[in-house]
Amino acid sequence: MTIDNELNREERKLAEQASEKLRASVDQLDAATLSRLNQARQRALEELPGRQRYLALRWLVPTASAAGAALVAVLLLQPSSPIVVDPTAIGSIAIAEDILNDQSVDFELLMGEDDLEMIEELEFFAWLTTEELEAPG
Amino acid sequence: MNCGKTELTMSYGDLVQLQEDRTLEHKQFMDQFLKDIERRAFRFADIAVRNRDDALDIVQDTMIRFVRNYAKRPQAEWRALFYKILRNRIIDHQRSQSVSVRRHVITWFGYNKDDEPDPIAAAPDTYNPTPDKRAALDDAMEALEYAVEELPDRQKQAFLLRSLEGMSVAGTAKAMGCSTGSVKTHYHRAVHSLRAVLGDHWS
Repeated sequence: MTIDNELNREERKLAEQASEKLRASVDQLDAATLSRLNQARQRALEELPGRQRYLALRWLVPTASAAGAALVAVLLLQPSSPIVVDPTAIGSIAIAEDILNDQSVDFELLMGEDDLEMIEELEFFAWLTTEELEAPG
Repeated sequence: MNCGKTELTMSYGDLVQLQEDRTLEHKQFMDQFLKDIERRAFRFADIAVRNRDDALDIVQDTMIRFVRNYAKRPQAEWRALFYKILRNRIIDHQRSQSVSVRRHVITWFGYNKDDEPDPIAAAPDTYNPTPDKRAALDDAMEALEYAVEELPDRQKQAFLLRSLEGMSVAGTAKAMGCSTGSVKTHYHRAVHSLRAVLGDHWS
């Protein structure tokens, strides 16, 4: 049973007339009011969640990626990086210290084009030096 | 290797584009919803507070709060939620009025008096408008507005949501935060009161 069934005939008629007039009044709003409503709607739409988030995402992720890449590059190019020479890998702490303390070793060169090869070969040179020192005569 | 990097970059771009498309689509839905409801919402608020500028401010604030807090809710719920916010904003407005010269300004929609007897609706018809008011009644719309304005708050809300917004009983109940039975009662009393007041003008 709907609510309209609870009204008598006159009341139902009045309710229908009232509804028609109220709805008609909506279409008679003046231009200034409509303009204000339009402005209010535009202002509200600026608050949509996610809009700012995705706009930020569009720039934030590439920027963060670039910043990360730059950070990695800076760490790799740092001259005093401890990963360049590992004394335990060389097998002789004394020799490693000599190499590290040798001012003639130009670590900038190690970071050149052949840096990875030279790092690998460094172990070989250290071993070779050890062999020469330990060799009789 | 390079191909893999290229694909990864494109996938990311597609993802961002997809999100933007969805956001744009969502914005269009919201824009259409607000466009559809804004005029009736304004009339609703205007009849409630009887001040055009205040009504516009209330509608704008309602729109902003709705978009900010409820935009992600299912669209089927939007209308009831919107009017729930509008109702609360009108209540806030009414409470902010320190001086009230009319009884309806004391509270708008009251304090959930759904199940309490409505003394105003039950009272005998003491409608006795001033000469100025009576002259205004020559216009049917003004007569209706005045009569609706004089309704108790809950009756007014139920009547406007049903008649102006065209909401169902269930939707009206959601917007008013009460039972469907209460909505029926308030609406029936509102129409009965309006009939008593407007009978001479709306025959």
